[in-house]
Amino acid sequence: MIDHKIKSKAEIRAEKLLPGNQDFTTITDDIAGVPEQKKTPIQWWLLFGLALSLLAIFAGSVGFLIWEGTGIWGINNPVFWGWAIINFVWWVGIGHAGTLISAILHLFRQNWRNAINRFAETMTLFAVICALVFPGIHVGRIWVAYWFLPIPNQMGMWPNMRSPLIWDFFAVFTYFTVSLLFWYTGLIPDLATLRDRAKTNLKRKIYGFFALGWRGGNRQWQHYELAYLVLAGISTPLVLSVHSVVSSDFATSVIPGWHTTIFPPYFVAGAIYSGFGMVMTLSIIARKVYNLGHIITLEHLDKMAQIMLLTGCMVGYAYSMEFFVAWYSGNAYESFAFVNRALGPYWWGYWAMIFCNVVVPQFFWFERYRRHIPFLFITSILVNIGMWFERFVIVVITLHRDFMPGAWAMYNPTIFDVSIYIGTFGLFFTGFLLFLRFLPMVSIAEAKLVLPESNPHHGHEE
Amino acid sequence: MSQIKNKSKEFVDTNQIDQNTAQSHEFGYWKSLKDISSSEDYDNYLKQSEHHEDNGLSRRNFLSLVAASVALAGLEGCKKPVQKIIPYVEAEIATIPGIPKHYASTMPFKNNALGIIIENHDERPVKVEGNEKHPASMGKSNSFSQATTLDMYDPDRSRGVRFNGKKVDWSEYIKYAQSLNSSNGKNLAIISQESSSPTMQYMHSEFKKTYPKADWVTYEPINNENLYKGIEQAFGKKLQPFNRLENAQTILSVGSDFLGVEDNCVYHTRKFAQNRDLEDETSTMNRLYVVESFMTPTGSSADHRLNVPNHEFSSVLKELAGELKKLGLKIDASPMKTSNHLWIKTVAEDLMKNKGESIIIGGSDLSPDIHCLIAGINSQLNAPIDYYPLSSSHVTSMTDFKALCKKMAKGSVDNLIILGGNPVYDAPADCNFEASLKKVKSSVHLSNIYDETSKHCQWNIAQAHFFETWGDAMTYDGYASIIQPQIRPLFDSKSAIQVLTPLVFKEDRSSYDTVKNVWKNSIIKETNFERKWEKILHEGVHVRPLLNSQKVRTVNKVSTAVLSKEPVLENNKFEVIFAPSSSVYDGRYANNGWLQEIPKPITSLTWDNAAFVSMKVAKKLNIKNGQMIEISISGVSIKVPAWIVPGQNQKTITLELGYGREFSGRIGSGVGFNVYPLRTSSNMGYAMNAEIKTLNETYPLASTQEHYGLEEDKLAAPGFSDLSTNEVQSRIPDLVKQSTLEEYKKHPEFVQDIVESHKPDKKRSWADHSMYNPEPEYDYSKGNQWGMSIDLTSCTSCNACSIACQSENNIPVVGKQQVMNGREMHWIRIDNYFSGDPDNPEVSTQSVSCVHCELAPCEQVCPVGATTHSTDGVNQMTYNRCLGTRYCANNCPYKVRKFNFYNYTRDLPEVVQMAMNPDVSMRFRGVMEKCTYCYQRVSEARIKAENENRDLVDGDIKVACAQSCPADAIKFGDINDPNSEVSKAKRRNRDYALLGQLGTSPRTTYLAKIRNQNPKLSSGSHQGAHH
Repeated sequence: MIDHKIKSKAEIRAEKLLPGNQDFTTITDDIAGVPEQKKTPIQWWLLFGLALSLLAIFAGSVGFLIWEGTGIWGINNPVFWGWAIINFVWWVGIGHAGTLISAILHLFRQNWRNAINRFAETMTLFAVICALVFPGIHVGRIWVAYWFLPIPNQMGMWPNMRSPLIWDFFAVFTYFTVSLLFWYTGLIPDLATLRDRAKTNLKRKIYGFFALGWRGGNRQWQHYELAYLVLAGISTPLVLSVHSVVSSDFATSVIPGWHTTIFPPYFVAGAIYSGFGMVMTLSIIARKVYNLGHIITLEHLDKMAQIMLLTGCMVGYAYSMEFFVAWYSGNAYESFAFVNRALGPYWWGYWAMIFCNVVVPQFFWFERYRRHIPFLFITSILVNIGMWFERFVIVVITLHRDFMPGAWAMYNPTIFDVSIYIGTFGLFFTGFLLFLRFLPMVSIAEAKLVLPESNPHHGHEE
Repeated sequence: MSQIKNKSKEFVDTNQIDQNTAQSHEFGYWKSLKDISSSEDYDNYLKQSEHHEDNGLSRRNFLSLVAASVALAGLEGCKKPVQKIIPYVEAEIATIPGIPKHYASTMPFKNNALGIIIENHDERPVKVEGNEKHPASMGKSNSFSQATTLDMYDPDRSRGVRFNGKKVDWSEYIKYAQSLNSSNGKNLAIISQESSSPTMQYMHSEFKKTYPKADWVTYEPINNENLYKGIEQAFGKKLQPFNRLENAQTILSVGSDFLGVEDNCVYHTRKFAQNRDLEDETSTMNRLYVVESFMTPTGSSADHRLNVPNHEFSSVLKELAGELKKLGLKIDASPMKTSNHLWIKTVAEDLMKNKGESIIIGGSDLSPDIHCLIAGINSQLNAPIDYYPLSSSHVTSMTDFKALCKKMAKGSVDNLIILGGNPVYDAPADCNFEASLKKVKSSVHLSNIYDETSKHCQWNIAQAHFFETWGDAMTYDGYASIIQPQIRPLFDSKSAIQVLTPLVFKEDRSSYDTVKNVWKNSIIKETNFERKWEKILHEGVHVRPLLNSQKVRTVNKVSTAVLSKEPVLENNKFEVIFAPSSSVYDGRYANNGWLQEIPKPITSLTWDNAAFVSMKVAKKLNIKNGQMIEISISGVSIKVPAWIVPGQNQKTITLELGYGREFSGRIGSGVGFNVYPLRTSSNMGYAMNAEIKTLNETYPLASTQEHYGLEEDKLAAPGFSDLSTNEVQSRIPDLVKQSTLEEYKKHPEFVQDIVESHKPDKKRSWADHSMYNPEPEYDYSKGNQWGMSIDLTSCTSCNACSIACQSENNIPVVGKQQVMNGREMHWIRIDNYFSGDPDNPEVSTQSVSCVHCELAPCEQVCPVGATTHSTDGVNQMTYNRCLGTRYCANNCPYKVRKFNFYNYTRDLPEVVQMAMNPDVSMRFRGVMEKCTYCYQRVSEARIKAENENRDLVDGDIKVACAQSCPADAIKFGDINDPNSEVSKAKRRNRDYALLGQLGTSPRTTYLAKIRNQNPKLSSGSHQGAHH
């Protein structure tokens, strides 16, 4: 017997994104099965233990920082900002993929995002939390850090709204709030699923509480979809604004190497780039550990690699354009700032950045590499290293030699710069592992959307 | 920080001082009200009160008693001197809390004196300023006098009298001293420091009368003995030359750092700079030629510098003499022609052209024969030098000192009194002073700190700081002045005069009585003595000089034959120069944190000395900065880290004296390397034929400036190791705008010659550049608008401004480790840039502090509005409000903001807290700070003017840096007042804004540096030529 059935487009797509004979039940079982595991896998405990140790290092280092002062870092005059700000920008950048994947790709109806959006959003939340730690702890007097906030007070103080740091603060906080809402809204149907499948009363109560009485009715779905769309609409400009605003910390200054108008788009591209890198890293690990290769497929990874190729080329363009403008401007100070990046004492940082961010993703022109998992894994890590170096280049190399050679100096990070950076991984992974343990890592409801049966016009497309 | 803490522990062990008692009331310094309440004064007061109020203690009485106790506590802390001293300006003597009082006094320095005004807050001296009426100061000062406040409040100072380590009463010493009068002082010896004090002079002669057989030897490790000997050789008697630089148009310095650490530097700098104060391109200026072997502030200020080693100075002079002979001077010299011929010939011509207004100044460590020749040439040139009689009793005589050492070694000195100084540490190695001292039966050491010498003496007497005692001093040209105590001795300390009193008078007598009697009987021999005395106390100087300049015979026949044979430098060996340190001098300031941390001129080194080597030698011997080298001279060797310095002669290594102290309190102990072991009485200035060995170890040195082309650039990408060197070279003309006088005459507006697009549009106001204020918030054309002008032509990088600023503004000392981290806190940074030939570079020096931009990049970016602009145009820093994002500092193009990375002031000992200026808040960790234009002084003057119902006038406000600057290069005032000094300076065509192209409109602007180069030498082909 020959199967005469011609596959619809939706079916072909579903085949690619959800290979094998998957249906609503198998997807629910597969995804919800992870948080429902009776026995916590030993690997999880190992990873969680590691994450907690890092978190302890973080807490210890921050405690010492608050006790002793920012002097424990390597910052000096003229490099007043060091790893703390590098890490802040780096984590915020990583936090970009979540909203991009959730909101923009949602608006563009890129359904392939459905397998990774929960992942990416969660990553965003914890990345932004890690990022937000730094503006708080990097200030000299941590106990008055709340002065950033526009709180009416008896001292008659008010933040200086002209300062990009205030813009920054608002931008990142807004982003965090919207991302949290977006993440939570997306979680509601899945929380209800977990509630319905819960074996114990306690679980049912907790999941039930957060599911906000979701019953999966038609009207609920209608409202839900609308709310999700509205949130996606609100989030979309944020993807562009957050890192644009972060970049204005540098771009509005007078310092050669910072004072450039290219920064906002360049930062946004870089942020998406590093965000996708991090999603890639995490999803490759998760699909391996939890055997979710049929849900997070090669197709998804390929798509992400394509976006990384695009954004990688964009940052590469920005790097070369910076040099061009520095030369074309005829401004000696500006020119030297860039020559010093590439050839000065920190040249290795610059070339590490170029290698990781510009050279490595060029392999993604070839499909072979886009679907080669070990290659993708290494690349995704290299991209994040490269993006860290990008911020190192911008913050440290720019500051260490600016206008007055009499004030030039070298910058040497201390053990506490390193420990706080490493420590934020503890913060990140502790949160992320708890998420993996207790919540569905892939959106159950949305993953199903690519199945032919979830299409209301099944069989009657076009 | 931790380094300092550790040091302090060590110190407690070694200093035999019980730290608990050290700060307690028994030493006259109260710690808390509790201490006071147990004091005798308080008890007396209670008794007194009871006496008045015998009707019981009512609530009201109780309250007044409490109030009085508190007031008493305050009084006890502020130790008002008992004798009547006269304030400088104010008529009334009463103290108004919070209003500082100024007293004139004198800072004795060796055999010279610097008139100063001391600012007292609640009877507590906190700040030194120059005294305008004093001829050696003219209102200006230097870094040593600025930093002396910290010496006064040094917590490591010795306390009271100790005999064999045990605390004894002063009367015990008096008994001991009175017991010494047997056998006319045979076997009694005194070693004193150089002094110009008429009272000490009197004590000396009285002592000699009482103890005719006793020895009195004067010793200073850095002295002018050779100079005086040379002059004696030339003129037949020892005289003190006094260079009248105001009358000199051509100056040749032969190895003399007369603008740096040599004697009378304040006077020299003031008068030298006076002739460089260019109004416009039509003005004239003096010309300075310098022959030297390593770069000094004088050499860096030179218009032409010739780099030759010290031992070849005599041949330079021989050649010069030959040229001068050709030009008509009566000199017996044969013409010579060396590679420096053009340079020397040109100098000779210039000296002759300005005959009568030209002068040769020889470095104090040159040999007597060279000084003799210089004196002879000067006399033929009719050089503007006055010669004054020299009281030989108070200048160093190495012959006497060596003889005494021998005598001591033989055991024929039973009693030795060392009046200050630290000969165990700083005596020439061949004197074996330490061993000789051990042979002395009983020795007394008067010292401010329990030091290397105190260790070997039975009697240790705490030396009073000159803020605490009566005394007097005299300038080289005979202007005597009185040292007025500002405060009762903190640590039960005594002056040299007091230590001598029981010997001379056989009884204890207050130094006040002694000084006053000397002045009454031998100085102001007038009937209305009291009025005169008060006037001198008030003004700070006796206007009639005690000395008259001596007519010296013109040396008719000067001969180069006086020169001894030039020593020969063997191959691959070096000449080692022993130079006084601009920070610790001969070691006496080792425990002064301000001086230890101030970046030294030229090298920008702090907290250490080093062996200065030239770039070529470093390359040849494979020496890096901080590399340990071993220097051996005739069998004695020391290990010192090397530091590569531009302008260092290839045949020389320079070692700074005064470091490597073993017993110098918590700051100075173990800082740097002791180089005295290499110095013998025959090579006090320099030693020949030293061997250098590069060792395979390095030592961290803390410098505040990157060293271009050296360490950092080795880290650059392969093949680009001259990247930053080239960049700095290309920036110098933009940052330190400069020209030669000749070029300046041709292009008077040269400072405006910059790329058109970078030119700030003068028609637009600053507000037009702003995104925020289309209408300016303030109208800067109204009211007082503060501004500053710094003349780069006269600045010599002497550091006086920076330490004055530190003293005025309570700037913390952060320690070597923090300096190495780039965290020094000085509000004034002195940048040194070198260009041209590394062996003989052109130095461009620029002092940079906050320039108070009208459109300040820092203000815009502060998230909490902690740095804002005042209506009088000052960029203000509100410490309380700062939360320490450091964004302002990042965005400052001048990088003048300093951050408190740690709580640098937390561990400040209580005594040191007394040195802090109460008008300026102490900064906590986590806040930014920077130059405020001494706003506390602005406010003080404004309040005063308001009270007097008048407007502020120019000169009401003197900011600390401008006040101290001996070159008078800094002008501060109201730029809206067209007649103010600063407005006049800013109207000059040399005025430019640093990085003006950024549109920041700085209030501090610079006057371009003009070098008065001789056109004959500026061709660039010659070694000594600049281009």
